[in-house]
Order: sequence, then C-alpha cells, then structure tokens
Amino acid sequence: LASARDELVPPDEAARLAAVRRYDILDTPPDGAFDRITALAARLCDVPISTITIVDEDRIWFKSKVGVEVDEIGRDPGLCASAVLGEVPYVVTDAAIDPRTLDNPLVRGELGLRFYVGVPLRTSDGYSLGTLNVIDGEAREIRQEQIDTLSDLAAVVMDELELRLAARQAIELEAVREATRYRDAILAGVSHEVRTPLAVLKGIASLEGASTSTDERLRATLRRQVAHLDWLMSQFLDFTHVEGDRLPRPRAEPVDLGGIVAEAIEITADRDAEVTDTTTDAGATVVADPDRVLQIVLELLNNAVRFGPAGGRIELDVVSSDDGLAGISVTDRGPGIDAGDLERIFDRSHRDRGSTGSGVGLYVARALAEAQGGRIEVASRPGEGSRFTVLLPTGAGVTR
Amino acid sequence: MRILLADDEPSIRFIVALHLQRRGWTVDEVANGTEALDSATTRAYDALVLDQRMPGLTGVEVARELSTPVPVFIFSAFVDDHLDTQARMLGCSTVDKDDIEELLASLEALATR
Repeated sequence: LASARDELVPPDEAARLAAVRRYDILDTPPDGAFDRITALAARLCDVPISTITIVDEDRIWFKSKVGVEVDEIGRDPGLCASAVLGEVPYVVTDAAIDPRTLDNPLVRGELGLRFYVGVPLRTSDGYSLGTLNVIDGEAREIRQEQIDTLSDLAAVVMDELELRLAARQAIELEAVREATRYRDAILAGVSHEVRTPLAVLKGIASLEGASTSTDERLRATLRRQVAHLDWLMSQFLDFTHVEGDRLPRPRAEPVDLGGIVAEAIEITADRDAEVTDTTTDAGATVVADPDRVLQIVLELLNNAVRFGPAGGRIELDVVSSDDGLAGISVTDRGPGIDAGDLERIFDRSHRDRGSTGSGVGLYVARALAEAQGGRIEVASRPGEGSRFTVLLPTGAGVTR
Repeated sequence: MRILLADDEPSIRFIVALHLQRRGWTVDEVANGTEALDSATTRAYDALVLDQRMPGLTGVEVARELSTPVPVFIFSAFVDDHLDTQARMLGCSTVDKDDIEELLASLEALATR
C-alpha cells in the first residue's frame, strides 16, 4: 500500500527537484512582479487567497502570497503537491465533498479550505516547479475563461522565472569567459617568460664537445637559468595555490638575510643590470621560509631589472622596520610608479608591472610575505626609481 | 666571417656567441638596438644577428635603417606571421631563438657561398 507521501511524489521527482534548484528561486525575498500576479489572480477569481508556490523536497514554499501569513507549509497535506503531478489546472470547487481532498487536514482542519484551483508552473523542459493558485474557505464555481486567464498568469510567472535564469546564466557565462581570458593571459605570459631560459638551456645542450664540468662560465649559466626557470614555475604554481587559497604552510626557521642577498645576486648575475649588495647589517636574520624569502627577493629583483634602464644599477640592502621586522630592500633607478598606482601593482588583475610576465608576480610575492607574518612595502618617486622592501618577523621576543 | 650579435639578454649573447666562435667566426656583441645600428654602420659585417625585442630599436627597425646590404637574421623567441612578413619585406630572415641549430645552418650556408 503506497503511503500518502508516495502518491504525492512525481515519478521524475529527482529531475524535477533539480529543475527547482536550477531556477534558484527558493527562499528569495518577496518580489513586486510576482506579488502583482497573485493580487491579480485573487481579484480575478474574487477569492481571499492566492499564492505562487514552489514545491520543494519536503515543503511548499510561497514565492508570493495574498491572504496567507506563513512562508511555507509541509509538503504532505499541500494541494499544490497534488497539482504539480499534472500538466493541467487542478480544480477543486468543493473540497469537503471532493473525494481527492475530503480527508485532507487543510480541508478538515481549522483552515477549512474548500475551493482550490492550482495551475502548474511548467518549465520549458516539462517540469512543474509549483503552482499559481487561488484558494477560498467557501465552495465556489470557476468559469473556464477564469481558468484560462489563471493559466496565462502562470505562464507569465514562468516567463519571469526563465528571464531571470537566462540573465543569471549570461552573467555566469561572462564570469567564466573573463576567468578564461585571465588564465589565458597568465599562461601566455608564463610561456613567454620561459622562452629565454629554455633557449639558453637548448643552446648549452647543443654545444658539441663542451663540458659544464670544466667550463665554469657555462656551468654558472646553466645553474642560473635552471634557478630562473625553477623560480618562474614556483611563482606560477604559487599563483594557483593563492587563487585556490591553499598556499602550502611556509617553514619557520632562522634565515640569514645576507645569504639570501648573495644568492639572489648570483642567480641574476646574467641579467642586464648591475646588481649591487649594499648590506652593512651582516648577520641579520628573520624567522621565515628561506626558499620563500629568496623567491620574494627574486621577484622584486626581476621586477627591478625589467622596469629599470638597461644595465641599470639595482641595490640590495638588509633593513629593519620600526615595528621590529627585518628584511631586504631592492632599490632601482627605473621610471618609478605614480602614487595612485602604488597599491594597485599588487592586485591580482594588475598586469603592466607584473614581473614574471604572468603579471601576477607581485601579487604572489605579497601573498607569500603575508603567509609568513610579513609584508611588502613600496616607496617610489616617478622619474627617480622605486624601492620595494620585504619585511618579515625576526622572532625576537618569541618564546619557542 | 665577422658577425654582429645584438641581444639584451646576456645569457643569450653568451651562448650564441660561444656557438659562433666555435665555428671559427668573429663575434661582436652589443646589448641594444641603438648600439647595433652604430656598429653596423661603422664597420662591415658578413651577417647581423638581431634580437627583435631590444631596448632602443627592435631588430626590424635596425634592419630598416641599414644603408648597405648585409644578410640579417631577426632572432626572436616569438616568430609569428607578422614578424615574418615584416622581416621578409626588408629581405631579412627570421630565426626562432630556441633553434640555434637553424641559425648556425643558415650562417654556414652563407660562409660557404
């Protein structure tokens, strides 16, 4: 024996519920367009109650209502649950004597529902989301043209829902397109950036009779190009990590800042710039992840090389801040940055000054600094140059 | 054979010059387009190898300014139809940067002509 509940569930219920979800209408706030339709339906049939309902898994939710206080009722007794089973209007002129409804608690109970006409809200692909209905506590007749007009109003409700769905899909599609364009630009930038080191590595590989074990310059070039590629890939990987909010937890250990400066200068020795170590504070340390600190400094340095004049002087210094952080500054003699752009250059979407070519280098560098409890500061004078400083905790005063 | 090599990437200059010198050719290196044009107009070369994207003048721009005919190879990491057409209109060839072998083969052909 089927339960009352089973009888009220359409055979394609899972697909119907998926359709309900697709329109994303449940629990949305009241809406003038729908409220005008229920007001019109109530007036048309001269009844006190009219609602637009959406039949959810276990409730009937009112998108719009005239003459009802509650926002939803259980699905089981609801006549709308019966109405969505069919494709045509569900008409009960006197529920007290109608065999389909005479035992219904809404009919027998306090509410004393007697008159119900529900027109299914049918989607273009044939699912009933709910109904537009009119209800009265008294039995009454309804003329065919009233049912026809109710059907037209139900179609207007669906038109409205379809329109909103289409608008939302258009917005989502545009967002997807924008994200794709963004990703394409980054990928193009990265593939652009890896060409030079790859060309150098291929050039070394095709050198007949040369040995990197005997030729120190060749060995150094090989080492630097591999380090450069490694850094580019780290930046790109970290970008995807930052985007997905799953940046690996950085290590926290003493890092010798002077050592990082020396390593960064060695890796960029082949670049078209005169990189100088002006460190006086030898021995300064921070508590951070050495690989990450080097990665950030290489980003700042790469940035300085790219935007500075050919062969221009770039200074690396070990510095400390008033609030007890220490770090490394990278000072260039480049064109400088306008005050209005100083914050923007760290944006995910800022592209002109991004240094990895992917355009997200500074965005990644800042995320890396912040993940280690630090920050990146920038000071610049247009026409004179810029100073980027990465500052990190020194661990002073921290009990371990 | 004397070859002028212009590229703003020192590592590229280093490795390309190494290849050229190993063939017994003399290589003059410059780091930008302006210097390339200066050198190319002040002395005679058997071939010019010009990076396309350089500070000052691009490879194609240098080629356009040349008054004496000399074989020019536009050396670029981004050879596309547009660059190809530009180069061909000036009678230059394009060579992909990550194909040093192709550059060497073209220069060999020039040397044995």
